[in-house]
Amino acid sequence: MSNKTPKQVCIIDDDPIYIYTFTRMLREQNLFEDFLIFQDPEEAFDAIKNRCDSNEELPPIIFLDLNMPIMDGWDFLDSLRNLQNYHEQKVCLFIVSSSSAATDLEKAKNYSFVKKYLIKPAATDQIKEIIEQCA
Amino acid sequence: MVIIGLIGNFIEVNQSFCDFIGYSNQELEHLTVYDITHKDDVELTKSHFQQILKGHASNLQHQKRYICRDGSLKHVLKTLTAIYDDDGNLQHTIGLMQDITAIVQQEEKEKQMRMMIQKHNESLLNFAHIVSHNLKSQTNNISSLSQILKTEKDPNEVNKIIPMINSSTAGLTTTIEHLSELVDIRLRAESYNKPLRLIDFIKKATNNVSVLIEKEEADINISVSDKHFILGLPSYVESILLNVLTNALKYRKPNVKPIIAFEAFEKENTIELHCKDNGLGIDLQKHGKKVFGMYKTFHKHKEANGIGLFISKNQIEAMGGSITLESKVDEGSNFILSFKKHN
Repeated sequence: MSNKTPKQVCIIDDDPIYIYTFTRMLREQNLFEDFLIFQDPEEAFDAIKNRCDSNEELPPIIFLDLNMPIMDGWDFLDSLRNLQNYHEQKVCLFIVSSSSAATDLEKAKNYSFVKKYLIKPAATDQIKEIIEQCA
Repeated sequence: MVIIGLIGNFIEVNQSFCDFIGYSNQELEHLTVYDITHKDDVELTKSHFQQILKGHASNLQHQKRYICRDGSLKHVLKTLTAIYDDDGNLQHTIGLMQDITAIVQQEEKEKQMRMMIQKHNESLLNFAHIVSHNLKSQTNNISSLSQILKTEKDPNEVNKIIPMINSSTAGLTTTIEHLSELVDIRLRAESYNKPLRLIDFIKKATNNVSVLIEKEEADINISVSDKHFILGLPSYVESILLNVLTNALKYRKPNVKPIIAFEAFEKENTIELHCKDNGLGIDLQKHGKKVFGMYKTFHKHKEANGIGLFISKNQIEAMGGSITLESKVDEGSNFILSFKKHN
């Protein structure tokens, strides 16, 4: 693994099967060492908020699903937008959704801190490329 | 044409107005214009009359409704003109009426059509969304898993992957079943509606979940008259009431005895059934738009599948009714079901 590779990745997705296939792919490519996985976006937000509050380092890369129960990806982004200390750390946040709806793609543009919108299933090469850009 | 005096009394009416309104000349002598005006239009009529009395205007036009002798409603475009004597004093007013009932009814019909089309459009959009999300995510999972399976040598991993494929295919089947069910709902038109005694269906729903009611030790209060008849499809009404009731039981507050109240209110053309509970409630400001969407859940509950209320909404709309929700977190929810009334 090159020194440039970020160590930790955070994945927020309510679908356990997707998490399995996605993390497996990331592992096979040796892209990360540490996986921070949340099936519940509320828990994910609390964890990120705690780190912000105590000035801890955030995971450099976040993959966020959109369609989730209770708090969905958009609610999550709205909460992040107002989170103090989050925006000072240059976190690379990617939306990873199976929705290819134009309305969703447009809506994502309203969040300047979303680095890119990826449509599931994201190809291995595409993931490698965007991770390199973040490093 | 009518000549109306300064207190709204009829001084003179022509035969065509009598024919139109159904009252005779003699009967109208004892009535004022307000007696035969629809109650919601009395204020408007009065204010226009006042403007003429005060001399602010000598000619005014408005749209209003009259109640005929047989109780039917007539829409008119009325022009009120002030008549002065030689000294400039107001003597009386002349009202000229144009019957626009047919036009207004047509407009209302068109408005309802527009609303129906809008609703259909919304559900189509929801459909598209589901196809893109649920079907896609299941098929994506199946294809990724089978790709992995091709090269996977470790039997432990294989044993993990196969149940995942099974669960994805099962999920896919369920989604397809839900979709075809919804297509079926939309195909069934209001013309299949039958008069149904509402209370019978509420009792049936409570009987169907009597075990659950007992288990949760819930109180069910019903204040619905046995004279309330709605228009609907029996199977839909059954499933909607069952859904609303189980919803109230499922999202009860822990350690608080669930109290669920059914109460019916008779409206002009509809019967409104309120189903009120003292359960968990939901934050409508946050989730309001999504409550009746497909595959939306708002509670961390293993049985929540996000399909029930979506189906109920489609069913009640197919019968020409509507469903709305009032709710506050920690206080409870009130589902308002509006059915067409059988007269």
